Amino acid sequence: MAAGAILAGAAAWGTGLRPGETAEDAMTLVARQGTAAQYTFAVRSTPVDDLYPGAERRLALTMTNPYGFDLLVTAVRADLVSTTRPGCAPVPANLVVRAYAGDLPVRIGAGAERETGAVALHMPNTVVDDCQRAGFTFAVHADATRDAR
Amino acid sequence: MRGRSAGPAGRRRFLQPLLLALGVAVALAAGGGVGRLTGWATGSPPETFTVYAGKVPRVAKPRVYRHTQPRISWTSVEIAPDRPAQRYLVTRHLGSVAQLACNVPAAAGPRCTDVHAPAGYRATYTVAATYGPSWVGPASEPSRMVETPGVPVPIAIAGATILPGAAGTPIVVRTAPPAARTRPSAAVSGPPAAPGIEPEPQPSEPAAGAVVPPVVRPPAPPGHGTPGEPAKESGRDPGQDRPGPIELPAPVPDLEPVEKELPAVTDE
Repeated sequence: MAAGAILAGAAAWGTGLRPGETAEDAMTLVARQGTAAQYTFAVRSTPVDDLYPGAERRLALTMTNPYGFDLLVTAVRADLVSTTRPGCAPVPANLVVRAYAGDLPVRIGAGAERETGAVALHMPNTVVDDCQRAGFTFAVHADATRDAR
Repeated sequence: MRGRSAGPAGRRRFLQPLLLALGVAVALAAGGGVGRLTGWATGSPPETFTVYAGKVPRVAKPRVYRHTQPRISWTSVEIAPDRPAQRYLVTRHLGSVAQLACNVPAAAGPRCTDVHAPAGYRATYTVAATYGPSWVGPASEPSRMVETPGVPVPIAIAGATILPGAAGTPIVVRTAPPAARTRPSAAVSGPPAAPGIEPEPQPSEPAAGAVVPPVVRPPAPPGHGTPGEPAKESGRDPGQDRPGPIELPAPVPDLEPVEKELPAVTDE
Protein backbone atom coordinates (compact mmCIF):
# COMPACT_ATOMS: atom_id res chain seq x y z
CA MET A 1 0.00 0.00 0.00
CA ALA A 2 1.61 3.22 -1.06
CA ALA A 3 1.00 6.28 0.99
CA GLY A 4 -0.43 9.23 -0.79
CA ALA A 5 -1.51 12.72 0.07
CA ILE A 6 -4.53 14.22 -1.49
CA LEU A 7 -4.48 17.91 -1.92
CA ALA A 8 -7.96 18.96 -2.57
CA GLY A 9 -9.32 21.67 -4.74
CA ALA A 10 -12.71 23.06 -5.24
CA ALA A 11 -14.94 23.62 -8.16
CA ALA A 12 -17.59 25.70 -6.56
CA TRP A 13 -20.46 27.76 -7.78
CA GLY A 14 -22.76 30.05 -5.93
CA THR A 15 -26.46 29.46 -5.63
CA GLY A 16 -29.36 31.69 -4.76
CA LEU A 17 -30.40 31.37 -1.15
CA ARG A 18 -33.94 31.54 0.14
CA PRO A 19 -34.40 32.80 3.67
CA GLY A 20 -33.81 30.01 6.13
CA GLU A 21 -31.94 27.83 3.68
CA THR A 22 -28.31 26.83 3.59
CA ALA A 23 -26.65 27.38 0.24
CA GLU A 24 -24.78 24.45 -1.20
CA ASP A 25 -21.87 24.43 -3.58
CA ALA A 26 -20.04 21.53 -5.13
CA MET A 27 -16.33 20.85 -4.93
CA THR A 28 -14.75 18.32 -7.24
CA LEU A 29 -11.39 16.80 -6.36
CA VAL A 30 -9.73 14.99 -9.23
CA ALA A 31 -6.79 12.68 -8.55
CA ARG A 32 -3.52 13.03 -10.42
CA GLN A 33 -0.12 11.45 -10.05
CA GLY A 34 2.41 13.46 -8.09
CA THR A 35 5.45 11.17 -7.83
CA ALA A 36 5.82 7.44 -8.29
CA ALA A 37 4.37 6.81 -4.86
CA GLN A 38 2.31 9.91 -4.27
CA TYR A 39 -1.01 10.97 -5.64
CA THR A 40 -2.52 14.40 -5.46
CA PHE A 41 -5.84 15.83 -6.37
CA ALA A 42 -5.97 18.79 -8.71
CA VAL A 43 -7.81 21.96 -7.83
CA ARG A 44 -10.51 23.28 -10.08
CA SER A 45 -12.07 26.21 -8.35
CA THR A 46 -14.73 28.71 -9.12
CA PRO A 47 -14.94 31.03 -6.12
CA VAL A 48 -18.06 31.48 -4.08
CA ASP A 49 -18.67 35.21 -4.14
CA ASP A 50 -21.65 36.17 -2.05
CA LEU A 51 -21.01 35.43 1.60
CA TYR A 52 -22.63 37.88 3.99
CA PRO A 53 -23.29 38.14 7.75
CA GLY A 54 -25.32 35.16 8.87
CA ALA A 55 -24.73 33.17 5.70
CA GLU A 56 -24.17 29.42 5.92
CA ARG A 57 -22.47 27.63 3.04
CA ARG A 58 -22.09 23.89 2.58
CA LEU A 59 -19.35 22.76 0.24
CA ALA A 60 -20.11 19.22 -0.87
CA LEU A 61 -17.00 17.23 -1.76
CA THR A 62 -16.90 14.83 -4.66
CA MET A 63 -13.69 12.87 -5.14
CA THR A 64 -12.74 11.37 -8.45
CA ASN A 65 -10.22 8.56 -8.79
CA PRO A 66 -9.16 8.04 -12.41
CA TYR A 67 -6.61 5.35 -11.56
CA GLY A 68 -6.82 1.63 -11.87
CA PHE A 69 -6.60 1.03 -8.13
CA ASP A 70 -8.60 2.11 -5.13
CA LEU A 71 -7.73 5.08 -2.93
CA LEU A 72 -8.58 5.15 0.74
CA VAL A 73 -9.19 8.66 2.04
CA THR A 74 -8.39 8.84 5.73
CA ALA A 75 -8.67 12.56 6.56
CA VAL A 76 -10.09 15.75 5.11
CA ARG A 77 -9.44 19.18 6.54
CA ALA A 78 -9.88 22.79 5.43
CA ASP A 79 -7.97 25.64 7.04
CA LEU A 80 -8.58 29.35 6.59
CA VAL A 81 -5.15 30.76 5.84
CA SER A 82 -5.52 34.34 4.64
CA THR A 83 -7.78 37.09 3.39
CA THR A 84 -7.32 39.76 0.78
CA ARG A 85 -7.99 42.73 3.05
CA PRO A 86 -5.72 43.93 5.87
CA GLY A 87 -8.60 44.93 8.12
CA CYS A 88 -10.27 41.55 7.72
CA ALA A 89 -8.34 38.98 9.71
CA PRO A 90 -8.63 35.25 8.89
CA VAL A 91 -10.25 34.45 12.22
CA PRO A 92 -13.46 32.68 13.22
CA ALA A 93 -15.05 35.99 14.19
CA ASN A 94 -15.08 36.78 10.47
CA LEU A 95 -15.55 33.35 8.94
CA VAL A 96 -15.97 29.96 10.55
CA VAL A 97 -14.78 26.82 8.76
CA ARG A 98 -16.56 23.87 10.25
CA ALA A 99 -14.97 20.44 10.49
CA TYR A 100 -15.38 18.04 7.61
CA ALA A 101 -18.61 16.14 7.93
CA GLY A 102 -18.64 12.73 6.32
CA ASP A 103 -17.58 9.14 6.67
CA LEU A 104 -13.88 8.39 7.13
CA PRO A 105 -12.07 6.45 5.96
CA VAL A 106 -13.78 6.32 2.65
CA ARG A 107 -12.77 4.25 -0.35
CA ILE A 108 -12.81 5.70 -3.83
CA GLY A 109 -12.88 2.83 -6.24
CA ALA A 110 -10.71 2.57 -9.30
CA GLY A 111 -12.05 4.90 -11.93
CA ALA A 112 -14.92 5.93 -9.67
CA GLU A 113 -16.38 9.17 -8.43
CA ARG A 114 -18.00 9.52 -5.05
CA GLU A 115 -19.50 12.24 -2.87
CA THR A 116 -17.68 11.83 0.40
CA GLY A 117 -19.01 14.57 2.68
CA ALA A 118 -18.95 18.32 3.09
CA VAL A 119 -17.17 21.24 4.64
CA ALA A 120 -19.40 24.05 5.87
CA LEU A 121 -18.63 27.75 6.06
CA HIS A 122 -20.44 30.21 8.29
CA MET A 123 -20.05 33.97 8.26
CA PRO A 124 -21.08 35.15 11.74
CA ASN A 125 -22.69 38.48 12.52
CA THR A 126 -19.44 39.51 14.19
CA VAL A 127 -17.80 39.86 10.77
CA VAL A 128 -16.29 43.32 10.51
CA ASP A 129 -17.12 45.93 7.90
CA ASP A 130 -13.67 45.60 6.34
CA CYS A 131 -14.56 42.07 5.25
CA GLN A 132 -16.94 43.37 2.63
CA ARG A 133 -15.64 42.16 -0.73
CA ALA A 134 -12.79 40.31 0.95
CA GLY A 135 -11.50 37.02 -0.40
CA PHE A 136 -11.01 34.20 2.11
CA THR A 137 -8.41 31.65 1.04
CA PHE A 138 -8.44 28.09 2.31
CA ALA A 139 -5.98 25.26 2.15
CA VAL A 140 -7.74 21.94 1.80
CA HIS A 141 -5.89 18.83 2.88
CA ALA A 142 -6.97 15.26 2.28
CA ASP A 143 -4.84 12.30 3.25
CA ALA A 144 -5.17 9.02 1.43
CA THR A 145 -3.47 5.72 0.92
CA ARG A 146 -3.45 3.45 -2.08
CA ASP A 147 -5.70 0.57 -1.20
CA ALA A 148 -4.04 -2.67 -2.28
CA ARG A 149 -7.08 -4.86 -1.72
CA MET B 1 65.41 11.09 -9.51
CA ARG B 2 63.80 13.96 -11.28
CA GLY B 3 61.91 11.46 -13.24
CA ARG B 4 60.61 9.73 -10.08
CA SER B 5 59.83 12.98 -8.36
CA ALA B 6 58.25 14.37 -11.48
CA GLY B 7 56.00 11.33 -11.69
CA PRO B 8 53.91 11.97 -8.54
CA ALA B 9 53.73 15.69 -9.31
CA GLY B 10 52.50 14.96 -12.77
CA ARG B 11 49.92 12.53 -11.38
CA ARG B 12 48.75 15.21 -8.94
CA ARG B 13 48.42 17.71 -11.77
CA PHE B 14 46.49 15.11 -13.68
CA LEU B 15 44.29 14.06 -10.76
CA GLN B 16 43.52 17.52 -9.35
CA PRO B 17 40.98 18.45 -12.03
CA LEU B 18 39.41 15.02 -11.80
CA LEU B 19 39.12 15.24 -8.02
CA LEU B 20 37.65 18.69 -8.30
CA ALA B 21 35.15 17.55 -10.86
CA LEU B 22 34.28 14.54 -8.72
CA GLY B 23 33.79 16.77 -5.68
CA VAL B 24 31.47 19.04 -7.59
CA ALA B 25 29.53 16.07 -8.87
CA VAL B 26 29.19 14.63 -5.36
CA ALA B 27 28.07 18.00 -4.01
CA LEU B 28 25.47 18.41 -6.71
CA ALA B 29 24.22 14.89 -6.19
CA ALA B 30 24.01 15.44 -2.45
CA GLY B 31 22.20 18.73 -2.93
CA GLY B 32 19.74 17.16 -5.27
CA GLY B 33 19.16 14.38 -2.82
CA VAL B 34 18.57 16.80 -0.01
CA GLY B 35 16.18 18.68 -2.22
CA ARG B 36 14.30 15.53 -3.00
CA LEU B 37 14.31 14.53 0.65
CA THR B 38 13.00 17.97 1.58
CA GLY B 39 10.30 17.53 -0.97
CA TRP B 40 9.32 14.22 0.55
CA ALA B 41 9.46 15.56 4.07
CA THR B 42 7.16 18.51 3.48
CA GLY B 43 4.97 16.97 0.84
CA SER B 44 3.41 19.02 -1.88
CA PRO B 45 2.18 22.44 -0.88
CA PRO B 46 -1.53 22.46 -0.17
CA GLU B 47 -3.67 23.73 -2.94
CA THR B 48 -6.09 26.45 -2.10
CA PHE B 49 -9.41 27.85 -3.06
CA THR B 50 -10.97 31.20 -2.38
CA VAL B 51 -14.45 32.31 -1.43
CA TYR B 52 -15.50 35.91 -1.54
CA ALA B 53 -17.68 37.98 0.72
CA GLY B 54 -20.39 40.07 -0.82
CA LYS B 55 -20.88 43.74 -0.20
CA VAL B 56 -23.68 46.07 0.70
CA PRO B 57 -24.54 47.75 -2.59
CA ARG B 58 -24.81 51.47 -3.10
CA VAL B 59 -28.31 52.86 -3.02
CA ALA B 60 -29.36 54.81 -6.09
CA LYS B 61 -29.78 58.57 -5.84
CA PRO B 62 -32.70 59.18 -3.47
CA ARG B 63 -35.75 61.22 -4.33
CA VAL B 64 -36.79 64.06 -2.07
CA TYR B 65 -40.07 65.90 -1.93
CA ARG B 66 -40.72 69.31 -0.46
CA HIS B 67 -43.32 69.27 2.27
CA THR B 68 -43.55 70.86 5.68
CA GLN B 69 -40.85 68.34 6.42
CA PRO B 70 -38.83 66.83 3.59
CA ARG B 71 -39.82 63.35 2.52
CA ILE B 72 -37.08 61.14 1.18
CA SER B 73 -37.55 57.89 -0.70
CA TRP B 74 -35.22 55.47 -2.41
CA THR B 75 -35.08 52.10 -4.10
CA SER B 76 -34.35 49.10 -1.90
CA VAL B 77 -31.22 47.04 -2.52
CA GLU B 78 -30.28 43.41 -1.93
CA ILE B 79 -26.98 42.08 -0.67
CA ALA B 80 -27.68 38.74 -2.37
CA PRO B 81 -30.64 37.25 -4.22
CA ASP B 82 -33.67 37.34 -1.93
CA ARG B 83 -31.53 38.89 0.78
CA PRO B 84 -32.52 42.55 1.13
CA ALA B 85 -30.57 45.12 3.09
CA GLN B 86 -31.75 45.28 6.68
CA ARG B 87 -31.67 49.02 7.43
CA TYR B 88 -31.16 52.36 5.73
CA LEU B 89 -29.34 55.36 7.14
CA VAL B 90 -30.51 58.68 5.73
CA THR B 91 -28.07 61.54 6.19
CA ARG B 92 -29.00 65.22 5.93
CA HIS B 93 -26.32 67.46 4.47
CA LEU B 94 -26.44 71.14 5.40
CA GLY B 95 -23.49 72.49 3.51
CA SER B 96 -20.50 70.62 4.88
CA VAL B 97 -22.33 69.46 7.98
CA ALA B 98 -23.81 65.97 7.80
CA GLN B 99 -26.18 64.49 10.32
CA LEU B 100 -28.24 61.34 10.54
CA ALA B 101 -31.81 62.18 9.66
CA CYS B 102 -33.46 58.75 9.72
CA ASN B 103 -32.54 55.19 10.62
CA VAL B 104 -35.09 53.06 8.87
CA PRO B 105 -35.59 49.30 9.13
CA ALA B 106 -36.14 47.80 5.71
CA ALA B 107 -39.50 46.44 6.79
CA ALA B 108 -40.76 50.00 7.26
CA GLY B 109 -40.36 50.73 3.57
CA PRO B 110 -37.82 52.75 1.64
CA ARG B 111 -38.85 56.19 2.80
CA CYS B 112 -38.58 58.58 5.70
CA THR B 113 -39.71 62.02 6.75
CA ASP B 114 -37.01 64.26 8.14
CA VAL B 115 -38.91 65.60 11.11
CA HIS B 116 -35.88 67.53 12.31
CA ALA B 117 -35.04 69.32 9.09
CA PRO B 118 -34.33 72.92 10.06
CA ALA B 119 -36.84 75.36 8.61
CA GLY B 120 -35.70 77.74 5.93
CA TYR B 121 -32.55 75.82 4.97
CA ARG B 122 -31.64 73.98 1.82
CA ALA B 123 -30.36 70.46 2.30
CA THR B 124 -29.50 67.36 0.35
CA TYR B 125 -29.84 63.76 1.49
CA THR B 126 -27.83 60.59 0.99
CA VAL B 127 -28.86 57.05 1.85
CA ALA B 128 -26.68 54.10 2.86
CA ALA B 129 -27.90 50.53 3.28
CA THR B 130 -26.72 48.29 6.11
CA TYR B 131 -26.66 44.54 6.73
CA GLY B 132 -25.94 42.91 10.03
CA PRO B 133 -24.42 44.82 12.92
CA SER B 134 -21.34 46.05 11.05
CA TRP B 135 -21.73 46.15 7.31
CA VAL B 136 -22.56 49.58 5.91
CA GLY B 137 -22.71 50.28 2.23
CA PRO B 138 -21.42 53.38 0.51
CA ALA B 139 -23.53 56.52 0.65
CA SER B 140 -25.72 57.18 -2.33
CA GLU B 141 -25.28 60.09 -4.65
CA PRO B 142 -26.80 63.19 -3.01
CA SER B 143 -30.43 63.94 -3.67
CA ARG B 144 -31.46 67.15 -5.30
CA MET B 145 -31.51 70.09 -2.95
CA VAL B 146 -34.70 70.75 -1.07
CA GLU B 147 -35.64 73.69 1.13
CA THR B 148 -37.75 73.18 4.21
CA PRO B 149 -40.44 75.86 4.43
CA GLY B 150 -40.16 78.40 7.21
CA VAL B 151 -37.97 81.19 8.48
CA PRO B 152 -34.37 80.11 9.02
CA VAL B 153 -32.69 80.78 12.31
CA PRO B 154 -29.11 80.10 13.35
CA ILE B 155 -28.58 76.55 14.48
CA ALA B 156 -25.77 74.56 16.02
CA ILE B 157 -24.97 71.08 14.77
CA ALA B 158 -22.01 69.00 15.77
CA GLY B 159 -19.81 71.87 16.79
CA ALA B 160 -20.70 74.05 13.85
CA THR B 161 -22.92 77.09 13.88
CA ILE B 162 -24.98 77.42 10.77
CA LEU B 163 -26.40 80.70 9.57
CA PRO B 164 -28.96 81.21 6.86
CA GLY B 165 -27.47 82.48 3.64
CA ALA B 166 -29.08 83.59 0.45
CA ALA B 167 -32.07 81.48 -0.61
CA GLY B 168 -31.70 79.20 2.39
CA THR B 169 -28.16 78.19 1.60
CA PRO B 170 -26.52 77.15 4.87
CA ILE B 171 -23.39 79.00 5.94
CA VAL B 172 -21.13 77.30 8.45
CA VAL B 173 -19.39 79.95 10.51
CA ARG B 174 -17.77 77.90 13.23
CA THR B 175 -16.55 74.36 12.95
CA ALA B 176 -15.34 71.95 15.57
CA PRO B 177 -12.09 70.05 15.06
CA PRO B 178 -12.39 67.50 12.29
CA ALA B 179 -12.34 64.58 14.70
CA ALA B 180 -15.60 65.74 16.23
CA ARG B 181 -17.47 66.09 12.97
CA THR B 182 -20.02 63.66 11.70
CA ARG B 183 -19.14 61.27 8.92
CA PRO B 184 -21.84 61.37 6.29
CA SER B 185 -22.62 57.69 6.51
CA ALA B 186 -22.09 57.29 10.23
CA ALA B 187 -24.89 55.75 12.21
CA VAL B 188 -25.69 58.11 15.04
CA SER B 189 -27.99 57.04 17.81
CA GLY B 190 -28.72 57.75 21.41
CA PRO B 191 -29.83 60.91 23.13
CA PRO B 192 -29.69 64.26 21.41
CA ALA B 193 -26.25 65.74 21.32
CA ALA B 194 -25.36 68.69 23.43
CA PRO B 195 -24.59 71.78 21.41
CA GLY B 196 -21.19 71.51 19.87
CA ILE B 197 -20.67 67.89 20.88
CA GLU B 198 -20.79 65.20 18.28
CA PRO B 199 -22.16 61.84 19.39
CA GLU B 200 -19.90 58.88 18.80
CA PRO B 201 -20.84 56.77 15.80
CA GLN B 202 -22.23 53.47 17.04
CA PRO B 203 -20.64 50.37 15.55
CA SER B 204 -23.43 48.15 16.74
CA GLU B 205 -26.80 47.90 15.12
CA PRO B 206 -28.47 51.27 15.53
CA ALA B 207 -31.84 51.55 17.13
CA ALA B 208 -34.80 52.18 14.91
CA GLY B 209 -35.46 55.84 14.31
CA ALA B 210 -32.74 57.06 16.62
CA VAL B 211 -31.62 60.35 15.17
CA VAL B 212 -30.01 63.47 16.49
CA PRO B 213 -31.87 66.69 15.84
CA PRO B 214 -30.02 69.91 15.30
CA VAL B 215 -30.03 72.26 18.24
CA VAL B 216 -30.99 75.81 17.49
CA ARG B 217 -29.01 78.44 19.35
CA PRO B 218 -27.70 81.91 18.80
CA PRO B 219 -24.42 82.26 17.00
CA ALA B 220 -21.30 83.68 18.52
CA PRO B 221 -20.83 87.33 17.73
CA PRO B 222 -18.75 88.10 14.70
CA GLY B 223 -15.09 87.63 15.38
CA HIS B 224 -15.69 85.15 18.22
CA GLY B 225 -15.28 81.96 16.24
CA THR B 226 -12.74 79.29 16.91
CA PRO B 227 -9.40 81.04 17.28
CA GLY B 228 -7.03 80.43 14.47
CA GLU B 229 -9.58 78.58 12.38
CA PRO B 230 -10.88 80.30 9.30
CA ALA B 231 -14.59 80.49 8.81
CA LYS B 232 -15.13 77.39 6.79
CA GLU B 233 -18.35 76.45 5.19
CA SER B 234 -19.90 75.18 2.06
CA GLY B 235 -22.97 75.95 0.11
CA ARG B 236 -24.56 75.11 -3.15
CA ASP B 237 -25.60 76.93 -6.19
CA PRO B 238 -29.35 76.78 -6.48
CA GLY B 239 -29.30 74.36 -9.36
CA GLN B 240 -26.48 72.15 -8.18
CA ASP B 241 -26.37 69.13 -5.94
CA ARG B 242 -22.64 69.23 -5.35
CA PRO B 243 -21.33 71.10 -2.36
CA GLY B 244 -19.04 73.95 -3.08
CA PRO B 245 -17.32 76.71 -1.24
CA ILE B 246 -18.97 80.07 -0.94
CA GLU B 247 -17.77 83.32 0.53
CA LEU B 248 -18.72 84.15 4.07
CA PRO B 249 -20.73 87.36 4.02
CA ALA B 250 -19.15 90.12 6.03
CA PRO B 251 -20.18 91.46 8.32
CA VAL B 252 -22.55 88.87 9.73
CA PRO B 253 -25.76 90.69 10.56
CA ASP B 254 -26.84 91.02 14.14
CA LEU B 255 -29.12 88.19 15.05
CA GLU B 256 -31.72 87.88 17.70
CA PRO B 257 -30.69 85.15 20.14
CA VAL B 258 -33.02 82.22 19.77
CA GLU B 259 -33.38 79.06 21.77
CA LYS B 260 -35.60 76.55 20.13
CA GLU B 261 -36.49 73.11 21.39
CA LEU B 262 -36.89 70.62 18.62
CA PRO B 263 -39.47 67.85 18.74
CA ALA B 264 -38.71 64.45 20.09
CA VAL B 265 -37.34 61.83 17.81
CA THR B 266 -39.91 59.64 16.13
CA ASP B 267 -39.56 56.33 14.48
CA GLU B 268 -39.93 56.07 10.76
